[in-house]
Amino acid sequence: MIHLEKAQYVFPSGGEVGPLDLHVGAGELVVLAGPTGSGKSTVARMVVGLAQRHGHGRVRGEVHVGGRDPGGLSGAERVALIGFVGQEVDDCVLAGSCAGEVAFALESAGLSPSDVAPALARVGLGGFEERDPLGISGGERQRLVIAAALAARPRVLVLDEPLSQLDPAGAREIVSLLREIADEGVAVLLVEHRLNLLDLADRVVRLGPVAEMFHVERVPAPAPGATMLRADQVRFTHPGGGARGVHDLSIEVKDGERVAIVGGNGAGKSTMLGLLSGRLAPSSGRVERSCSVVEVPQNADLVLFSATAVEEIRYGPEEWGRVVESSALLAAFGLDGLGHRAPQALSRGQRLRLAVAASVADDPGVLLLDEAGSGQDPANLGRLFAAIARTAKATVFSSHDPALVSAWATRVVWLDQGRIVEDCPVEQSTWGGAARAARAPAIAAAAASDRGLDARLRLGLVGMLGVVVILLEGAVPLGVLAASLLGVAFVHPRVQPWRRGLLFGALLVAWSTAFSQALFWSDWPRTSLLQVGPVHLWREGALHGLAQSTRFISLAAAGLLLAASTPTDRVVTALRSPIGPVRLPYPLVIMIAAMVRFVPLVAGEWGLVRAARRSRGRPIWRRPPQRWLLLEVALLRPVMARCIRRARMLAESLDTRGFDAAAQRAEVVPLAWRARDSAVLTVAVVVLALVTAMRGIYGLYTADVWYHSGLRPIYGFVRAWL
Amino acid sequence: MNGAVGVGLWGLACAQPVPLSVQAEWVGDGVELHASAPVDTLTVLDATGVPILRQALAAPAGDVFVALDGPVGAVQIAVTGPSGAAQTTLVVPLRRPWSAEVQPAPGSAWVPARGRVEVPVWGASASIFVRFTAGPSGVDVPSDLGPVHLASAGSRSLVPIELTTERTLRIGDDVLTLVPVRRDPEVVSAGLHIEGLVFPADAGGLRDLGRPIDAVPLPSPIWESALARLGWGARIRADGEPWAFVAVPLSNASADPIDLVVSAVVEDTAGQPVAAMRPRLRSADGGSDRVVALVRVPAGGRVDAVLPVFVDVAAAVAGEYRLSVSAAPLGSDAPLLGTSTPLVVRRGDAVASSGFFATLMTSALGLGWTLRRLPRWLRAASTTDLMVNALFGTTLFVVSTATDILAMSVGAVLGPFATLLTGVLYDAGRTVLLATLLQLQPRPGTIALSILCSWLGRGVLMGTIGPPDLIYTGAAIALGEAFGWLSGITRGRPIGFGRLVVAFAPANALLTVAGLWLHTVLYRLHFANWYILLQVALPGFLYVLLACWLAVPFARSLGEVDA
Repeated sequence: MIHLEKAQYVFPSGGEVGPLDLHVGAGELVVLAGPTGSGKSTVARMVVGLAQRHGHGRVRGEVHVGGRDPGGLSGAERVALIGFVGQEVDDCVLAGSCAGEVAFALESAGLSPSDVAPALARVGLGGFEERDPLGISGGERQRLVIAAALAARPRVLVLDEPLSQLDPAGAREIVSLLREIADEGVAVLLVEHRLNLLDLADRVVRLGPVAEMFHVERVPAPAPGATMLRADQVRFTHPGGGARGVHDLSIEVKDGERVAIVGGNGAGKSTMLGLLSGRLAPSSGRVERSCSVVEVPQNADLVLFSATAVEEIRYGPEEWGRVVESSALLAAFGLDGLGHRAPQALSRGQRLRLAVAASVADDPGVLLLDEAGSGQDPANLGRLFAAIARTAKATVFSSHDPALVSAWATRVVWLDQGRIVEDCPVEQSTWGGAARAARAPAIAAAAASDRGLDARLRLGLVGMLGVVVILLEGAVPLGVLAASLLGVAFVHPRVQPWRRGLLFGALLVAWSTAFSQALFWSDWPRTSLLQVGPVHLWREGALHGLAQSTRFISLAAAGLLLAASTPTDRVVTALRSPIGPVRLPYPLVIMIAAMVRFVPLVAGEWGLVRAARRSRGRPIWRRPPQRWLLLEVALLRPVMARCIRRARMLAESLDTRGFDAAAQRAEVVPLAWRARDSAVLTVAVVVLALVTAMRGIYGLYTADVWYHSGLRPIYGFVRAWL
Repeated sequence: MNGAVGVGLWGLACAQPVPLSVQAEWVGDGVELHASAPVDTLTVLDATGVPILRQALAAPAGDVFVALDGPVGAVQIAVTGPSGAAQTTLVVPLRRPWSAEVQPAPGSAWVPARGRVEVPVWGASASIFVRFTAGPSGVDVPSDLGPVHLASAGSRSLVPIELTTERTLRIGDDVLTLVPVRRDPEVVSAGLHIEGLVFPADAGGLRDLGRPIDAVPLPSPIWESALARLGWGARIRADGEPWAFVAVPLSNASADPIDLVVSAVVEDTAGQPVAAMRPRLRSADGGSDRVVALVRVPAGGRVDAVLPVFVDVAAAVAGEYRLSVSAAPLGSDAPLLGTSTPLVVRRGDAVASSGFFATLMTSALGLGWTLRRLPRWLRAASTTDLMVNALFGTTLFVVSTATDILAMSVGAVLGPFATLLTGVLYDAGRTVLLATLLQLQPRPGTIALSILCSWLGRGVLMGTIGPPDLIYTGAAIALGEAFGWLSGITRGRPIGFGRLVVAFAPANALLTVAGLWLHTVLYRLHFANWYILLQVALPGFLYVLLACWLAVPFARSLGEVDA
């Protein structure tokens, strides 16, 4: 099915991958292995056709899949022939429900919605149709992406390092699943470097120097010294996250120790590191730090916010008035000659090394690494950790990789469902992947039920409310409306955890509006509440502002209700479904879906960037305003760089799932408009029309345009109640 | 039998009604009317057709006597009744070449100077007048008041009388008896009340529901002239027409009816009459600054005195005034009652309403253009471009939400000035993001797609899909794309500080003021002019200049990432 003959990819910079020959037949599971940077992903992209359609370089040689050139396939042909699972699974999931994710490829292929459930069941996700992909575990999400790739029953499946984010047990499950898929006659090409998991493969094709892949440099660890970091009975719960978090966590980290935090996806490793670094504040318990602690997050390049690599290295030391030999540090981490380059323009491995080097330059007492090496081959990681061992005093790192843990850790802390189940020297640890296959608990899934009103109707109602709050004039009806909407919002289960904050927000809105109107009130009568020089705060303005603020509170409460009660994918589907004559173009809907989907991730990443900066320097306000502003803008750089990369990845994912901006698509999971929706819409439209008409009649009267004595009851009603 | 009744009824139904006719006969001091059928109203018109008397009869009658004292010569008499209308002509003979009338109290109606006339006396005495009017020629009138010489036809003479006790006077052949009726102001005022003022009211004294209470909202001159040009306006007024009325509900708990002179004046805070709100019919009010109405408040009853309130729309100045009302008994200058209410004059904001209109037009332009070009933009963009644009929208949303929350918190202390602080972050963030996006996708439609996508995404996440959001989005698209094109950036010119300034600064300044206008008109918020200028100058313009300076290297460095 896959046929590469002297295939070669030439990058615009002149570098190349290949030429190579590769043949994968139907029913074969073939692993493409090689060290980081050997070109595995490029080969996978050539097979899928991405290199031909999206790459800036050139493809040479013969590349055929199912006898066709993959670069020339239409959307529907692509999705019917080749299924593809990219490297960063989290960046490829677009829909708000598992069913929506699978349906995407079905829509491209023009297949029936009845294929959604079997596709999910095939990967062990039966019954997950309405679950939010963000609310399931990493392993489940990986299965979901495979289900989406297989939905249209392609004859070829290509996976680019799908196991990099998974714990050993989860990775083994996926490999077993791939074996089953291959046994059904699908040609499977798996790009991976964790060969210890791949005993079920038919063949392994190696790229690059294979010996180097398994060479691990080890630096002896010094004897543990004084306690640098101590957590005592720490508990943390994510807001609205149910049981997620860590519980009764107690740990001590001593100077020179290398502590590995292990456990399944969702076990609480990142949370624990966040608590140790101070990025997260514990709900109870305490964390004591007797030295500086620097954290390198999972996406290491998020901490790179300077203009050049040298500036990145120097940032922390200069903050504290120290001088650092940046060129030596760059050399130690294998970054010679790259000091002048923009950090975000470096390769993935280089960015990781620079992020760690910059953190080490801060001379931390404890360095925290959150799966910083995922996606790197063991040899690369070995070099990185050797450099760390030479510079840092103590290291705490989370990992899924047993080889790395056994080679580098002096101590293992095993987390399961937010609790420490084992804390011992590495030699005594029973953690070894399959030995105790801790499965991550399914994260409390966001209630994705959509049994209420149709999403189009909800959008329409919010829009109508926007009109009504403009039409209403009186403080009483506006106040009643705001109080009602806030009340309804506050009893919604998804809003309840945020109730206090939202109430505080509403009070702030009321206060600031009243404040501004008290200041700007220019009408009569007016009574001065307070006078400072020529400036008055007018009583009537304050009251007017209070009344007017209820408009904003009403709108915010309605928006909150919409967001809380309607899964975003239903709203997005609503946008592409015709509402009368209005129908948004599908590409625009996909843009909105992408925008909405990535808000939590981008917000989280921005928070990580700021936290990383905070841990590497003085408080932001302790500098001149222009430096402060420059730094604030610089903090956007890693987020934006990641956005650009993510956008590329997402675009390629959409491409491989048959997205074609010009093609018409039928909805596989359509919205169902019910009689109740019609009734509610009718009532809402009638009410809106009545209010609008009455307000219009009254407006004509007050604007001196038209008056009729017979309409006096309407004038009276509008005046008294609207 | 039944047939006979039926024929009879049919005959009645078909019978023509007898036409009403009337005959008039002069009987010395009046007219006797003899109508062919009962009449219930009659009207006497002078020779030119002007009505001089209208009378509704208590019950329809065929023979009616009407006292006529004054007109001489031909008069027409018209009657109406259940059976129709009729009229006749009569020549009133010249009885005597003069007439005499008396006014029992200042301001009251003149009545013939004969018989018994009651004169209210508020204090020791009452001053009243007898008025003599010559007929077709000059004449000397004999009376107990001394000789009254009327020199020529139609000439008049007023003779004052100070009345303390009952007095009988002979005037010509008539006898006039003036009977003083003592009135105690304290007693009368104890039972008399003003039950609050109703302003604005209509001419009937009903509250004017279309206008705010105790306020005179005046449209901006632009709106006023637009209405006039279009010929619209139920309330377009002639010069002498009142702007509105004030109704003065009076109640009288005493056993006697009372005649009152109710007057109103609009005063400024110093108590001086407001020139722009003086009566427009100066002669009718004797050149005073007060408007006056005469009312009789029945014993144990209630009545509304309705007084006009005049406003010189062009001259009226916005401010706080007082509408003062007083009531004096007929025949006395001393007011029995008085009350006042604040009266504010408001002026519509012509700038905000014009600005709102301009924003609407700009928005319509932006949205219309987007609707037309959107399919082309979407077809031309690669999937990667679309995703990059969408994810920039995500970042913009995160940055703007974060700064919104920050602004809300800072606003608790700084109020409306919070944006001067947080605007630095928001404008810097927004500008560098858009500049970077333009660096990556330098073509028309990039800004529009980004703004549109951000708005819709924000709508999905926060429900901000109301009309103001739509209007603002349309305006943002129009301004963003227009200035982007002017700067050359969307035409492929390289990004530099100057071009970014042209692309973003004017658009942002205009958008800032448009946003304030939207808030003013749609959400009825007030903004001082200096504040609007401050917002436009700092967050609207200066901060964007600063942001452009930061955006150039930022956009270039991210351009490297993309490459």
